[in-house]
Amino acid sequence: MSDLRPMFDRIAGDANAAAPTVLDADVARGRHAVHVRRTRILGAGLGLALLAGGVAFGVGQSGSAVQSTVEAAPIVQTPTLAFVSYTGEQPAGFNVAIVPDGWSVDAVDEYSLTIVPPGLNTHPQSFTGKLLVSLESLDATETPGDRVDVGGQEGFLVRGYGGGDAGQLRWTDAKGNRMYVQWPLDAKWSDREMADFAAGITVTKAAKPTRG
Amino acid sequence: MDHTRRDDEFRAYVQKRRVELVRTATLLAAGDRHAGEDLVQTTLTRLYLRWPKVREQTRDAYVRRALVNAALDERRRRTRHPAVSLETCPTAELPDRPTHEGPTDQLDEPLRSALAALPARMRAAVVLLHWLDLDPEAAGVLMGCRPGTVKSQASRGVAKLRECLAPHTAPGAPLQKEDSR
Repeated sequence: MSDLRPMFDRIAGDANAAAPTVLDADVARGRHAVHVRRTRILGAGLGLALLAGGVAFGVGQSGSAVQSTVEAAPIVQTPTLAFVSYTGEQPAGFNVAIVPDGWSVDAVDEYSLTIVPPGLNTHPQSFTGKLLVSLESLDATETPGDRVDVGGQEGFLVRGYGGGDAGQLRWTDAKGNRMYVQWPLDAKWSDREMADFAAGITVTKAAKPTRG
Repeated sequence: MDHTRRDDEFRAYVQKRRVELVRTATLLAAGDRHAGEDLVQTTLTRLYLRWPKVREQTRDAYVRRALVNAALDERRRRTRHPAVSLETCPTAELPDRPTHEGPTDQLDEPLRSALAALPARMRAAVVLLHWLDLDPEAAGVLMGCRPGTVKSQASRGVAKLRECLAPHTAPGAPLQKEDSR
């Protein structure tokens, strides 16, 4: 369909070279990502070291490595942000009972609700680093996940699906709404915390599913 | 690899490729420049992370694949477009804010709306075959599916675009049939 090309060419936008500041920003994002990755690796290494120390200590105390490992486990638990009751004005399409402490409602319409950490100020339609609530897309394909209980309903939770840096939780609520929550893995929320957050979501009649 | 060398090489590469990446990403995002920019930023950040391991000869292929993956990543594209049935053509509406710059045409908004109504994989197949001029085999590698699937997706997508744009074209100037690819 050769006549599509000139139309594509127009809506693809201008072809001006990227400004130096744009290139600087690309480099800065890359360096930040490297920093985050190294911090994670360092944290994991420290956790393993602590675990090993706990095991060694426990073996000396009781002579039982199995028992010591169990005792050492809490040391490497990942710290999490606490969820608190949401007391602000409820968004139109999706009401929430709890939100991460310090986070705030970013953008809301009938299709989605986003909640952001302090200082994150990106385009409303960019979901990177945000907690996202929406109805399941009509185009969604089945994805794998671990079963979790979401307020008495069966949900499926997956982390890093497709190599991404987000977690996803899907469930059907008591009213039959197919629900979707997405969050940044950086936040290190547990499965239980996400299931509790999800269980506190109420869909209003204003909410609409998406496609595309 | 030290940061300075990585930064310099990365910057030089991005300087050469960024414009076309954003244009392709904009089409993958149904003409939404902001969404396209978001996809490119994600792609380039992944490239920076992998820079020491991505060979120069395969760098373009890596970037293209990362871009398509980002476009097909459901968590990025959800909520961007209201639900529209493939059985009907969307009605083009004036956007709340400018979504692009440069020359316009009366078919631009209908085309955006029609692209937005396509499922993401179908839209990607159309863009890869009819914008990047990839063959179905290469497009299949990027999309992680068989060439035949790419062809059928692109064919259905183009047919749908043709159907949706037909009411907006002047009488006697029908859109051309899809080529035989």
